[in-house]
Amino acid sequence: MLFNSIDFLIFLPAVVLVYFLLPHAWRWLWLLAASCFFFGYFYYSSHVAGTTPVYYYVILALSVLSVILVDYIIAILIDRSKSGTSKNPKIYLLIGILFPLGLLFIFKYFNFFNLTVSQIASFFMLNYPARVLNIIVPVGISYYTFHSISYIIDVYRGQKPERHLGIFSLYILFFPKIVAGPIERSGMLIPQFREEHTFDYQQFTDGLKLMAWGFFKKIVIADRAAIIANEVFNNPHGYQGIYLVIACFSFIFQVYCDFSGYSDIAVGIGQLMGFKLTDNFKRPYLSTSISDLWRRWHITLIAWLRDYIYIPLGGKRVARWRWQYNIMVIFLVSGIWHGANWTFIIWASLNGFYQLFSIWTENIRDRFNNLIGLTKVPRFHKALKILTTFLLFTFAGIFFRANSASDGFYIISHLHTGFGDLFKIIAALDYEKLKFFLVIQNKVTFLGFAKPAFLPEMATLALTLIVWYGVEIIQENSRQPLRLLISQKPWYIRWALYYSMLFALVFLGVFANQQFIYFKF
Amino acid sequence: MIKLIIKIIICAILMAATMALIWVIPGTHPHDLAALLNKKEMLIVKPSPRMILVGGSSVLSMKSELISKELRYNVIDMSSWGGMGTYEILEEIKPYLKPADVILVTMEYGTILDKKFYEYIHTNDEAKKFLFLMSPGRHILESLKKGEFFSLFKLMHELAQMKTKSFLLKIVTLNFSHLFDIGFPGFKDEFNANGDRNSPYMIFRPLGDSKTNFSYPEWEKLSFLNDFNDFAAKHQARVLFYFSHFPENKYKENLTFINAYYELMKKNFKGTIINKPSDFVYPEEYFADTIYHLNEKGESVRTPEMIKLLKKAL
Repeated sequence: MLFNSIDFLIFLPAVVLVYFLLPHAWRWLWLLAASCFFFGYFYYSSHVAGTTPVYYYVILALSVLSVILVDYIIAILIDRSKSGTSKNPKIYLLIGILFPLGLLFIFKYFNFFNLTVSQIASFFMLNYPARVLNIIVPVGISYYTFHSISYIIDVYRGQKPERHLGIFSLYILFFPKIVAGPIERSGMLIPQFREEHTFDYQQFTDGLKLMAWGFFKKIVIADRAAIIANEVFNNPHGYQGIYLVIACFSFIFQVYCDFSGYSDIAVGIGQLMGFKLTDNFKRPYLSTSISDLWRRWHITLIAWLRDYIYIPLGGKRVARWRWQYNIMVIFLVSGIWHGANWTFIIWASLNGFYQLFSIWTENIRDRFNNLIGLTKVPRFHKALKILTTFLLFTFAGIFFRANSASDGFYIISHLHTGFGDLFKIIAALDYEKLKFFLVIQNKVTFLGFAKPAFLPEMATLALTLIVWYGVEIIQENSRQPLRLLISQKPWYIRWALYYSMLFALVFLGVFANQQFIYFKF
Repeated sequence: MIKLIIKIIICAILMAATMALIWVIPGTHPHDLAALLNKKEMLIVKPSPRMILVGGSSVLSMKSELISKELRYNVIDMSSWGGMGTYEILEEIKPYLKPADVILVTMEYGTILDKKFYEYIHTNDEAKKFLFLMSPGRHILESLKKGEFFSLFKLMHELAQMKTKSFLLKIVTLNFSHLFDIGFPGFKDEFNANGDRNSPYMIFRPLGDSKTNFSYPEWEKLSFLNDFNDFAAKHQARVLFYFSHFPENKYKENLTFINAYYELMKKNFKGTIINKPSDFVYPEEYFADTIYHLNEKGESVRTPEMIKLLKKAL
């Protein structure tokens, strides 16, 4: 079930209402049932829409259940072995990690691995026929795999295992975060299922406001920008420079507003019922460096990689070359986590390279900035750093969105093309030629929009991006959520702002039930 | 909890009131098909004697000023896109017919001989939206009778969204000169006073043919033409039908089906058929971007031929 669907509009109020009506002792069961329904609804709607046989969805459901059961038992065994009643906990730890990872590999990476081996074999003139499994990747598999692994490691590190199978299942399946995070630690979330939450008007409305802001980012900005990005990235050879540039920027706004929008909705839903989920983004497009950006982007994933891979590898407390190696490993794992495609690996490598390059050149850049006097104008310097970081991230983002590595390279190599003609035409004010320039042969659409709708859609996108960016800047400077700032204003200002938000959602939203980007990871 | 419910109700009322306001205030819809609204205005305003052209986009390049001059009729080109459906357009123009009107109807071959396209015409939501705009009251009543509440709301909401975005563009660009125009925002630039396109279709090769796959026509799908003919006759108006233009190679490829269509019409249609399909068969060089759109050269040949045929028929 998508958050931006009519089904969810019915599902959520029903879940929340019953949740508060039920006595505390039954609430976990209700949330678990609702989460199973929410999760199962994806498969139900996919089955209705497609031709995949039912048993296949049963296998997918069983794979999630097996992860829950195995990790539930393994965690208890680890705990027992630590208290000396059972075998070596390391063996259990390994099983607890390798089981969900194994399933993740089969469902998500097997075909990619097989095809890659086949390509390498053919390069060496060897015969390795790649067998491709015709399988659907279970929804949210990367997320629940990371949830279960972090749980097992935390138990191994000393956290008490959850003895209540229902509560543990709810930790894995909790519907606001099952398909695209945030990746919550068991130590943070499980105790919240045991706490009794009473209806708190302030908290509830705060959650609603956060959800509204999330929906604004998703359906007003991301889904609109997605139309351009999808059109161009799905057919890059049909477009030249200016369109490719527009598509790259559209995508970079899309991906942030889509994913941070989803995260806001997820956190907001949790808040309605009194749960505190972790914020996943902290205005990454206002970062002054790539390392700063990665502290603000997909925070729970980066924290996971830091705690379970980077620090065990030695983090920064190792030789300089080893530290840099650790950084690169983290980025590569992040790339592979995102998807079984070279595009994600290139994207992650580029980001890793940016990070390393900034380390290597730190002193030179500082000296250069002092030399040209940039440090004397700190505001301008900061703006320049934000712009540079954003552009670098946008550039890497080409590979994140490109359908294949070759498409990505094609786009990069053609970003500069066609501008000469465009500038000449604009300079000559040759409207007829400009019209021809803007027409894509035999297409009734322009960059994915019906031609007459293009300008109004672009005006809407530009205006809403300005609003979004303004909010980000206000939040960055005030260091507190805008909704708290708004709640301190007089009622007429608050209502004017709420009305504007509702107006934007209802009359400017794109209601095409577009899936969230991170649902596929 | 009660406070929350009251606030949710207030928000719902505010949004409903806003939607009603957007519907009431005149404004444009940034979509080619919204031109139908401007054409409807012509239909209301233009005096008799009138010639109303009904068809798909193949009719849009007609030089109706020449027809007007030669035949002394006020021409109103009500055509827009084959996907709107001829039946649906004829239903929309019915309330505005006047005595002595001549309704010149054509149906592009694909719209009747291609089953998939035929089905698409009668199910596509894009056309429904703009037909709805032509006579909202009638469509609301029809939808309510059928119990299609959700689809009615969805359609009205989508149209309100379009209008909102059109307003937004004007506000962003500080262009308030035509703030309360109606229909298609670029109507005055892109269409002439009779409702034809101002500029010819651009030439592209290969010609687009929407992957047409013709089959034998069925009279049930065409019988509405007789119903309309009867309605027009009651209002002292006349219905003329013509077979649309087509490229030579496509015509030869589909000759069997096109002939069957011609025979079917000859046998059953109660109005006047003014031509044979072969009359408007032209070489590919006369076409612009698709097998339905003539270029300037093609139109310079088609319109005079049409005038000759009309002179004979009238």
